[in-house]
Amino acid sequence: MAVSPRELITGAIDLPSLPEVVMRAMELVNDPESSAIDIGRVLSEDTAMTARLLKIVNSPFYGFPSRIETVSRAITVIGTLDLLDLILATSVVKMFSGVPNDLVSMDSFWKHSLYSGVVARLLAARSKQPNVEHFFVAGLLHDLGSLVIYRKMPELAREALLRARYNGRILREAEQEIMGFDHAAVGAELMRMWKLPNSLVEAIEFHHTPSQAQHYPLVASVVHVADVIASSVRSGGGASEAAPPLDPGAWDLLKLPVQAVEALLVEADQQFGDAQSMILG
Amino acid sequence: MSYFTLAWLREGMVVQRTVSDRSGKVLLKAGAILTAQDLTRLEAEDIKGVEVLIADAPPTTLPKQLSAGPQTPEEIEQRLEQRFRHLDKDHPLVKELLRLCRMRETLHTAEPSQHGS
Repeated sequence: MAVSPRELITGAIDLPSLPEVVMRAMELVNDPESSAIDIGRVLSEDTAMTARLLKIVNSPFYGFPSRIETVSRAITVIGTLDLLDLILATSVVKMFSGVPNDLVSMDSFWKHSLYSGVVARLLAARSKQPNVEHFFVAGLLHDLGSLVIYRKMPELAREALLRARYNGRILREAEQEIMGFDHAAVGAELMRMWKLPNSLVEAIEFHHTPSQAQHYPLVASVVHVADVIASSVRSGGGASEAAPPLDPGAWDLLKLPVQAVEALLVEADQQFGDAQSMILG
Repeated sequence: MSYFTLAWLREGMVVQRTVSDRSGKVLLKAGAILTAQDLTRLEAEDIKGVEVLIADAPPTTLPKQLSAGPQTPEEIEQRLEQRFRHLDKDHPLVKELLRLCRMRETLHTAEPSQHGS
């Protein structure tokens, strides 16, 4: 019987929910009457969250000269939106790190995701985009739908992986043939269920087809290009060993010279180690 | 490790658990790389499936990658060809990525990869 991405998300096996404190903080961001102080107060209610947050902002990834001791100071230094994106990133990785599957190496899965996030952040910074952590989170979570599929439809996921690995098929096309949808659609549905911003939903839904993104083509394009770069330079990181096809329009939208890629990769390699201990460690 | 039914087994996959027939005679040892002959034999012995390694790279190339030893330029080209098979190699970004990957792969051959994937 055919299943839709929404049914997969709301199906029998429960998927983790975002921590309540994250949901409340996200709601406050969209509330014009709330302030950074209100958001800081909500986050401070969760001591584990506060500790994680301070670990992030004090990590070498940011390299601030003096130690940041409080959430309100972190908000001042990093900004509310970027800070919430980082909280979201660590929360989701923490929630899904315990999801078992025997189909792929979780270590490689998260390393590919993290490298994509780091590259997306650097591409966004070079394209002079504000709120670069939003691009980081979108890159980090772009394949999250795959974990749902591995968990809920392991046999069909295995067939898709086999077709991609041994029959030379593009993974998302193999998924569509076998399941009627792909990991991008499932990931987007999960983002919707968690009531995350539409820009994140679109970035994940269209990370293989960024020209179809109607409202946030730039975020989708950055994540798409980051995924292609990460899959190309880091062998075996993604679910399939082959890099996905590049949408040339996505690269054009970034308006970056190809000569910039070499320096970007050097920086990505440097940041990857710091990001690993910050997000995965 | 994953259990594959016979229809999904392919040459080059790495056997993870020793396969025996009903009498206990070993047909395939753990670590063996499946050949076309093995597949025919498994079918003849009515073996339903085998536990094999699902790796991040095709099993045919896995032993060499795991060894992290030096690789020849031909082996590097083969790996890159596999990795770039869905990309348009005439696109400027893809051309640049291919150039950088050749450089990185060559360097990593000299020094074992830090990525380990």
